[in-house]
Amino acid sequence: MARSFRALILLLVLILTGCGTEEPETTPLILLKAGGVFTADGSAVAPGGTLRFGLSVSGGGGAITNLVVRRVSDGVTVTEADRGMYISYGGLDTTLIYTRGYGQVEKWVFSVMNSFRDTASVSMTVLKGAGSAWGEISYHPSVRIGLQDNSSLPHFADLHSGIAYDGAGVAGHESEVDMAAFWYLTSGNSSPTLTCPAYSSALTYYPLFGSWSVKNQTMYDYYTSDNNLVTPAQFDLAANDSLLVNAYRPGSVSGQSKYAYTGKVVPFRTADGKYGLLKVIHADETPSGEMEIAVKIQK
Amino acid sequence: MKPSRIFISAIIFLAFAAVITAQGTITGRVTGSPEGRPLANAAVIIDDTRGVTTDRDGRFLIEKVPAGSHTVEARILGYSTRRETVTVTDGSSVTVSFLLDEEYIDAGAVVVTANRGASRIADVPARVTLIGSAAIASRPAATVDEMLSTVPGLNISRSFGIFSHKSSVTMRGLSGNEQARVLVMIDGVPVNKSDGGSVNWNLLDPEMVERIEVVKGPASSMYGSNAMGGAINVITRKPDSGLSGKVTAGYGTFNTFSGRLNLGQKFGSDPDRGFYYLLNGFYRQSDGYITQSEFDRAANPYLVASDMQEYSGSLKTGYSFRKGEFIEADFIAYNDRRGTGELVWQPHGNTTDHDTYQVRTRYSIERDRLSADVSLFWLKENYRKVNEYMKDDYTWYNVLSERLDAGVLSSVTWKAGSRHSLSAGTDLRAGSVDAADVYYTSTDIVYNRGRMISSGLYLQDAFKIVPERLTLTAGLRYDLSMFRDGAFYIDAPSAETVFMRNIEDRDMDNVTWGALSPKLALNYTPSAYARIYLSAGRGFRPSVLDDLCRSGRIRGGFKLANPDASPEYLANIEAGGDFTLAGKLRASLSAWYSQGRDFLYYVNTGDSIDMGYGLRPILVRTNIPLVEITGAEAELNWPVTPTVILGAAGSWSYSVISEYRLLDAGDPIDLTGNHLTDVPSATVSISARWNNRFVNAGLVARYQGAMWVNDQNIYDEVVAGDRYPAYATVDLRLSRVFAERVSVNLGVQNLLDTKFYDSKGAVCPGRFITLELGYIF
Repeated sequence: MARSFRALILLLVLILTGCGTEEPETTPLILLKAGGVFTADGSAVAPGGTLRFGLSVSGGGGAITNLVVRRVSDGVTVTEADRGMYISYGGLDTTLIYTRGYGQVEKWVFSVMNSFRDTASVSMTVLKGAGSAWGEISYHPSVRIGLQDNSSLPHFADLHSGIAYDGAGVAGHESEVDMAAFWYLTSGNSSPTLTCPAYSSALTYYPLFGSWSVKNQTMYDYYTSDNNLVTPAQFDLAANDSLLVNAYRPGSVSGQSKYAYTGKVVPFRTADGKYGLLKVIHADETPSGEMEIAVKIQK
Repeated sequence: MKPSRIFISAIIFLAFAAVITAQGTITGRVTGSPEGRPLANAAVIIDDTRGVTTDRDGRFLIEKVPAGSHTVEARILGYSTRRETVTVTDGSSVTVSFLLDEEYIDAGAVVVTANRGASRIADVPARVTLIGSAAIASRPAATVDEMLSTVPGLNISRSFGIFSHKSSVTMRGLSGNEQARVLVMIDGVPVNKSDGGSVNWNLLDPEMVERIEVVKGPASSMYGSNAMGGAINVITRKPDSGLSGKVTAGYGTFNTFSGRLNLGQKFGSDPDRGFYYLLNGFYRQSDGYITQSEFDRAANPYLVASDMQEYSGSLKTGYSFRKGEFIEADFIAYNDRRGTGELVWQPHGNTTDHDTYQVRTRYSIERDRLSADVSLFWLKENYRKVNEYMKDDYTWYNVLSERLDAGVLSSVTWKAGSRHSLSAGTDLRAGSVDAADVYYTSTDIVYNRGRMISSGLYLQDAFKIVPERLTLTAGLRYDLSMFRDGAFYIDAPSAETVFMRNIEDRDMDNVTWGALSPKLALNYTPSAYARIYLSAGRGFRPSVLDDLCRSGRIRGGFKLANPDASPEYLANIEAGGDFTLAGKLRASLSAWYSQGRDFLYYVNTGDSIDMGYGLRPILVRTNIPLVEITGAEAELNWPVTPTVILGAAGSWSYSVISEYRLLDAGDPIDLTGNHLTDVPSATVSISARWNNRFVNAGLVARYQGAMWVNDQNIYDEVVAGDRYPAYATVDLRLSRVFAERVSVNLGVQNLLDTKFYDSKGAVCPGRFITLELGYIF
């Protein structure tokens, strides 16, 4: 009796005391690639010129969970990217492409964090080069796509080329698709909405995305769009990529952009780093309607 | 005298003597339904003349029973009395066994919750519902809160059955998702946390429950805040004889496994004296099911089944000094992990995890005219919620919250003379929260913390104006609540949280509130078949810490901390009665009207905030000047036979905002005239119990009326309407004990596989079947 009682007490103690494991803390490591196509520390690049940063990151024992890119220019810090991720094996090897701004000196700071919340940072300085290097743009004055229930127009747009693919024709071109659109009611409001293949809820309207091996993520600047910070007239006047780059506010971007009503201008950035503007020429507000846009995008 | 006459007389005498000396014995056993637990100290009476009591195994022996036919009756308080007729012959031993049913409703039953001391239900001028162990055993409930499903006026929010990581029980037309207005106790000790007022209803293994007492209407004059809507006291079992226990294993829908061990022992032969302990271990796990709506399933490639795993252990031990005096201590430990149905990278995906520890000690004494009770408690909950999702990129943050509550409760009741029953008591409680949202995919850490210290003093007198007929109860309680050390701030904000920067407050003002909670009630008993009560009272509740000091994302928008929120008050008048109708048919009726002043309620401010993915509405818990609630409830109980008991219950309530104060001059939303959210317009339940030699069966059918979805009473896209639709469910439980040792239990929840949905469009589990096998020792 006493033995069984002691055994039960022991069992209770075992149940009540769990075993905890303490995970080792380690620090991630960032290496900035040098040479070749990559922008070098201390180099001079003219405004509008392309900056290409190569990063090789290891998590230091933990998964890499966060990468932040900040541009510090004339005392102003702009967070160009703040991306969550979970890379537990093999580290992160990536190339980041940006456009040189107008500041005299740009300091670029790259920070990473791992799953233990240990962080590491590196930085480099890019001086202002002479002249201007704002680049050429492609202009597609009319791209027509159908909303989710439209069966007569194609749905999947390549913003680089201005081509729209239908469900059958997109086979083999999945990696070129940047945009689709749908209409829905949100908070009681009618919303023609821009989306992209990588945005998770786009699957609701375009299940086909689920089977694509490459799903591009286009980021739309909803703040600039919601507040009409770029007018259709400004869009029409844009002759190089200056407005395209500078209108894009990286702090208020998403792979989905609501309220893309007729007349709105939406800055965007494609998965391959091209900045652009799209002007909504016409947007229906029914699921079977269509959207017509004009696109200006970096070449 | 002639020899022949002498001979005849002798023959007659001998025959008579033989008859009057012919004797046998009657033996047997008295057990209680439905599991056949032995009933110690039951009275077994023969021919209403003499009797014996059962031993701790429920066995009895009556010797020297004259030959012939006899009536044997077994009775014990709390169970139905049963009679059997037996025939005893000379030298024989007749065996007769009794399986007694617990009385379903007994107006004479004693409850301890209403007056913080023993009172008969019939003497309590309020609506009190007692759910006894037999009723509990017949309910197909997997959790403790589900045992309350047939109590009229109660609203149980547990959309996902055992997969719900959060559930609440409210009552009487108060908003259904706010546990903070109903005090929940385990053995008299509060388990509502100061942080959110919530209760972890999964904490206690249903097998541990002896009975549940529900007191409806404001109980603040006894218990202070949290009890402004009512009080629920879950009373756990206590071993009453020898060594006994049960090992159970179960299997059910969605690959659900469970196992439990109950072991209890009462030392010594004196039932009123000695050491006792009760040990319980419980484990349950399930693969679960996909809860998300069809819409979400199509949109989200990361959906997985919402699984669950939980285990608990408890030890209750005590010493009875004598009848009515004991000291007791218990310890409960509980851990769970419940998936919420999305997995991107983390090992178990989105989960909630509770580590809960509760310690309680209690000393209670009942002597002649005086009874007293003192409890100390300490409750700690470490809550962890893993949030991960893929939107534009991967987001992962954990909510880590340490919630601590402790206190000392005391009460004394003194029966002064033949007419007064005076009660008094003091309570001291302290609760705190120390929480952080720790982001791993960005640098942010969002902190919130605060403390709430409450003290209360109450006095009550139950005065018998006309003994056995008319009683006046007057009570008054004063509460002092202090909000201290509130803070909300962010470290290293990124775009994930930077929008909250302007609402940081590292040093919130300390605030103290005081309130009087009075009660006045009359109880009139015109006959043994009826009683009527009339009561008026007021309840009080300050805001919970979560509303005072935490801002953050919630469903449908962004919740703003409101440290300026005032306490709310609920005044209530109520009338009701219990009536015994034809036979044993018993009807209970109540009607009430409540006025909520400064009613705490989530409202849309009309402003919006960009949380990194576009504008979302800002919501705040604020005080609404006037809310009015009108309601009625009825309950019928009919023990058709001692083994067949039918019940029906219904409630109706109408909860409306009568007066609304705009948040500011620019507030575009006026809620005047709107209905409170999450309140069913009506509930109806029908229950049946049938115990027989083959099987014990329990059936519960329940209808829940429609509920408004949002504060503006407007169309909700997820619900696709302005109200959650009404629905009905049927639950069934079949059980039997074989050879007094082996128990078999089949539970079917939602027999008709009704689908109903929560505010996120997530679906309930539907039909849920479990089979349990147990061995009783």
